[in-house]
Amino acid sequence: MSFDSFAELLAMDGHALYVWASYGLALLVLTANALVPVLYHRRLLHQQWQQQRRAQAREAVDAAAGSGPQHAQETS
Amino acid sequence: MWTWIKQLWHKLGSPRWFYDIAASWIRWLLPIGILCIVAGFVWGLAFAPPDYQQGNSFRIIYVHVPSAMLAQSIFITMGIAGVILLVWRMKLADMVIKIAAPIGASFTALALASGAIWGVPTWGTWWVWDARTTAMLVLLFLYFGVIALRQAIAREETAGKACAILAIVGMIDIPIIKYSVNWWLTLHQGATFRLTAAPAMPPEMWIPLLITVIGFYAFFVAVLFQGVRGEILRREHRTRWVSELVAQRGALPGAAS
Repeated sequence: MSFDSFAELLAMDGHALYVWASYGLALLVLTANALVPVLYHRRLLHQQWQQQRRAQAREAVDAAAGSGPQHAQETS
Repeated sequence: MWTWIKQLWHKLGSPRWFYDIAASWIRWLLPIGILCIVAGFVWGLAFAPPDYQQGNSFRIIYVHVPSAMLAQSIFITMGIAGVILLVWRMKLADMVIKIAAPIGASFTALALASGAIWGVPTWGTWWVWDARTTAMLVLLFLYFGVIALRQAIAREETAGKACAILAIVGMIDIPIIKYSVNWWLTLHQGATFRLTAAPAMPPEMWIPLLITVIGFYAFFVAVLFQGVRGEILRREHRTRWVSELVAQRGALPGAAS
């Protein structure tokens, strides 16, 4: 280790603000880049799944309303 | 080898194939990237010796150099993807340009910001209209241009072509950034890594830098691939394989990856 204590590591010999600000920004950029595509992918899968379910529900309603009575007539 | 390349090229035309293969690449690249970045950062912050002139402010190099290198490489990636899109009309190349642009912009901004912060204790100013810093600022605006151009054109195919042309033309800025420190003798120092000579730093300084650079690149490929997977899902949502996938894995918002 290049420093004698943790406090000295934090102090960076007077350059603490510059060094830690740079690393803080780096972590911010890296975290954002890692999270954005994962969250987008997740949201997209869920949205498309909901659309699929709505479409299926519509089909079921159409089937019940459209062919239901006809079918009943035929059988009676 | 040649037949292998031809097969790969053919497969790259299939978004479905890429969607699956990219997932298995990400499983390796993301942990490798994160591990290398953490190792390089900790080594650079706590274990590398301070610079004899700059003291501890030199540790900013472990943020600044990897982000600046990556920022330029991402634009070259976009330029190559642009050529592939225009010549072979590969859909995947268009998705790469679209997804890479904001990532590249963020790393260019990080390189500029960390450079500005570094400049205060080292140069006594946070900004100079130095050849390299100016060329790097131009790169940031080129990234913004590619992003804005796509949003300005409604038709996806036309927007993709326009972005490809801007990415190809914009590549002219890359050699300017690279050779700016040799052509104009201003404040910015010369290259840290060269192919032809050993670094001017001791190994305990440049080895953690090399590890961080490798980490940044692995990280970029992983997040690019994940972004492209999302884009594939969006563009191919009418296809049968996507609707089957959605039916299988879309039920829980937290379960899909």
